[in-house]
Amino acid sequence: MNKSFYTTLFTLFLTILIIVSCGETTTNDNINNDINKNNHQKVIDSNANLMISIDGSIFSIPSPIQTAIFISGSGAEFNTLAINPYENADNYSSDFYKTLNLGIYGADLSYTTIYEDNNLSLKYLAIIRDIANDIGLENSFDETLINRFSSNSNNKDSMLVFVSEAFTNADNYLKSNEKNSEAALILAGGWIEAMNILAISYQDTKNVKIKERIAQQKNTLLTLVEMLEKLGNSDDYMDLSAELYELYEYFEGIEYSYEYIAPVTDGKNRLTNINSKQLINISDEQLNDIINKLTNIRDEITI
Amino acid sequence: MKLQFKNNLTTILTLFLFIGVNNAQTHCDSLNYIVKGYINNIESEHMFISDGQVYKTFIHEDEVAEFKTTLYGGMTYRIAGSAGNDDNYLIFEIEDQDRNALFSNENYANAPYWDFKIENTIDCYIKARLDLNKKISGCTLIMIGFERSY
Repeated sequence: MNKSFYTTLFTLFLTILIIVSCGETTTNDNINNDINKNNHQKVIDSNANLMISIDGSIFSIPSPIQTAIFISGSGAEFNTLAINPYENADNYSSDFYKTLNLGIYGADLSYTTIYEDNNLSLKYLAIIRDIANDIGLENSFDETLINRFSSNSNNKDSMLVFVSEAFTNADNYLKSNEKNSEAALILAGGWIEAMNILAISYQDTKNVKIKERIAQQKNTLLTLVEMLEKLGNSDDYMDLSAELYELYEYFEGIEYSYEYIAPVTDGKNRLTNINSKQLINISDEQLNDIINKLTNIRDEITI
Repeated sequence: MKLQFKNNLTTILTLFLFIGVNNAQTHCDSLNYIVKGYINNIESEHMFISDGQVYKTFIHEDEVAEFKTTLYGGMTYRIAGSAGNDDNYLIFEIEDQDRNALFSNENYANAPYWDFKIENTIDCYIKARLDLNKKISGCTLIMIGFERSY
């Protein structure tokens, strides 16, 4: 009995020692030591299954803040019809819709912040905090964030940084806690709302650059579809993915051409200029089809 | 005796898993702070806003993590990454949609961050791998920031 106990204790000690000292492997640890290397590899394998990001795939969806900055720069006026009224938040009862609308309200908050409507921004931030509380993201959107946001209401730059930090923290928290599906949903909501703001801004201005920006979403949309399919854990995800794929089909008729131009790097300033060109030919009819489909999807989510 | 052995084994495996996960998790979390520091580098004359996402994965030797993204024309982006406390473990590369190489930090001593001024919107691939001369496996984390300009 005693022997068995001490054997177990020794094995346990050895196991912990191996894991703590070798969770990661630098080359110097392993030079000329194949046996150790093999042992390390086994330990790392056990971690890797739990740490690996999204089944080995990583997805990137451009930030809605970029879209808000772009729209502001295009000369479009602020349009309240482009955002989801904060009163609608009471309508969302399932975690799926709450999480999706957290992304949507995040895009709306970026838009109101860029256009310096501080009272409205604070209302949207409060709604975001309430939804975040409901779905277990209270640490990313807490009172401290609201206080920092409101006390910097004359500094748009700082406000945008706070919003971005909060969503980055939420993304990191979800991905670290095996909640990749929720992280994907927030990104999906943010993208759909950013597209809706683009669409309404285009209808208001007929600005060709906004039209091009909508057409440039083809690959991001496909990434979104793949992400929801891969990470989704309910029929709701599959339904949303199917709707977005139907939207993607409208993009397939658009003509894209690409010309590679060698980039120029300034090593001293750690800067590379990327000059390659992408040309897009999209008709008004194609754009209208995209906007109509997008509006249908967005209405189903927000109402 | 057999039952005793089985119980001990279960305890060891559970502890093994728990400590292993915590160890890797803690390390990945520390990378988050390191990379955030590159994006929000207050000493830099350029200030960047994170795109709101954290691209992290665990890489073994010979593995490459890759994702596709769109970089918009007229913007300046900062791509930053880390795979440990030393800032030169990670190699990151950018390729265009046709797999033409646009940049590799390997040509610049594995610099942990680099800025990209984008003339016209492009779809591209961002790839990350470990510098096998320095590290053969570990958590890697990349973030993308864009410069505030309106």
